[in-house]
Amino acid sequence: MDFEFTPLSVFEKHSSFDFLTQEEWEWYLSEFVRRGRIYSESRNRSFMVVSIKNSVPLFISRQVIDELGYTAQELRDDQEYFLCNITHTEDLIFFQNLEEHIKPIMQKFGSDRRLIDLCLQFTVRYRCKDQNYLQFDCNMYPMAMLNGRSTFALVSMRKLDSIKPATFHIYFMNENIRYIYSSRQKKLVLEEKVMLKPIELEILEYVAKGVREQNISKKMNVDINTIKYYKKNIMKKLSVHSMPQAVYYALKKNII
Amino acid sequence: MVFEKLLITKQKFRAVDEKGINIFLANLEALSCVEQVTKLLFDHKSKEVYVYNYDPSLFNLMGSERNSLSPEIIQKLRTVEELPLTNKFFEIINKSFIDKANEFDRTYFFSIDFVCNEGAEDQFSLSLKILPYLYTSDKKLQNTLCFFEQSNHVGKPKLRLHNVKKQQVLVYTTSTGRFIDEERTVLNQTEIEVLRRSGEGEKEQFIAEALDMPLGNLKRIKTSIFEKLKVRSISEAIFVAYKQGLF
Repeated sequence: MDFEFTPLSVFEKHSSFDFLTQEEWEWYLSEFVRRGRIYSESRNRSFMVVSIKNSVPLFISRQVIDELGYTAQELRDDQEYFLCNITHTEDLIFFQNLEEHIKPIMQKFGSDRRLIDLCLQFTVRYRCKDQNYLQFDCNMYPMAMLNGRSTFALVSMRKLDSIKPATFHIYFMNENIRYIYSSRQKKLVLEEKVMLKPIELEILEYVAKGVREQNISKKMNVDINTIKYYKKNIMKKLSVHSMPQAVYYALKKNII
Repeated sequence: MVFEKLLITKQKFRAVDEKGINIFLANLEALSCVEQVTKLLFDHKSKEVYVYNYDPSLFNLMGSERNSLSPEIIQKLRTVEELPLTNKFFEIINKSFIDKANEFDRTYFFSIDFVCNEGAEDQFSLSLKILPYLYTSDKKLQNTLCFFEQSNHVGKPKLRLHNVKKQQVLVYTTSTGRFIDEERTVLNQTEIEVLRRSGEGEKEQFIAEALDMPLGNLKRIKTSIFEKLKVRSISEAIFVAYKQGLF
């Protein structure tokens, strides 16, 4: 089965590409899909090529479709809304709300030069044919550039074992800056602010071993109020409400 | 495509030219950075090679640092190219990328598996995947992408043609000079059984009796094993098959 779409029915020529003739534009599109295809096959990974403007899939690799259980025809019939329709409703709302948070960050860094080292990392739940959900870990790169403008993105996908609400990161590779969406603060925050400091890790480890606040302060030679302050910070950073919850969370995430 | 014809010049992170940053190159680099792979991009127009080395397992193996390929490694690659067989492989690949007339049916790529430093202590196997990556608007091949990966290949170099559209893998046979279906080069159940029994030290006569076949048949099977694995003795066949995880 061949999952290549007939892209030209949906993708009208972008107004910024007026310098291309219709024929050149069609060639450009098919060439881009071809490139995405051989790349994905050679990497042995699931890939998707989407239009950045409206998130319409141009090409979805066989593995994804097989895992989800749809047929090529079903995709073609519903090409424009396919991805929206199979996304978990909660995740869809989550991504829709994200847009306003992404905008300021993109404005802060947002020149065309920036697009080159940008990677959007997210997890998302997709509904299978049999109404079960599968979760994918996705890396999305702006790929095709014409006139300095990004038109299509390549999404590299990996199936995850767990099924959890969606997460979202923005990663600027050049500066090694990563923004993480914090569900507690309801905004994108720098990774450093979410990562635990060494002293916080030490305290968390003591708590996990069942040492009392008083003893921790003696062992680390700091005031008991400082310990309390750090504990609060740990809970804030891990977006949990109690220390046992924090320990459990940290264990699951392999932090301690 | 062939290494010696191109100069490896660009090794800097974020290729910057006078016009600013080349977005096409930077995107490829971003992909290798996040996916932690190593790849070379051959530019046929300017005769340059861009190196993106982000695969940590290759750093130790080839003695290189992140995002650089030291001169010795390039030397190593040159020695690979000088092997008579791989040299021929590169010729075949070049020919099919550049000479063929049909421009739109390019949904295929090649892979070469080979052993580096054969016989030496630091022997390792590599797999090269070669993709016709970027065509200019006048439909000429401008960039070829080449992946470097560690593999568990043993024995002689092997050239494969992966057809993405037809979901087919073809293997190049040196004896006939053609690509044949990989299934015809993979050992079948009887052949694996014969190999396993030989490996356990059973005699030909005994194996033939156990498998309920005449001795002539068994000899024929052995010959076909040799052909398929491109080896010369049953011991070599056992070694190669075991390393490839066939039994």
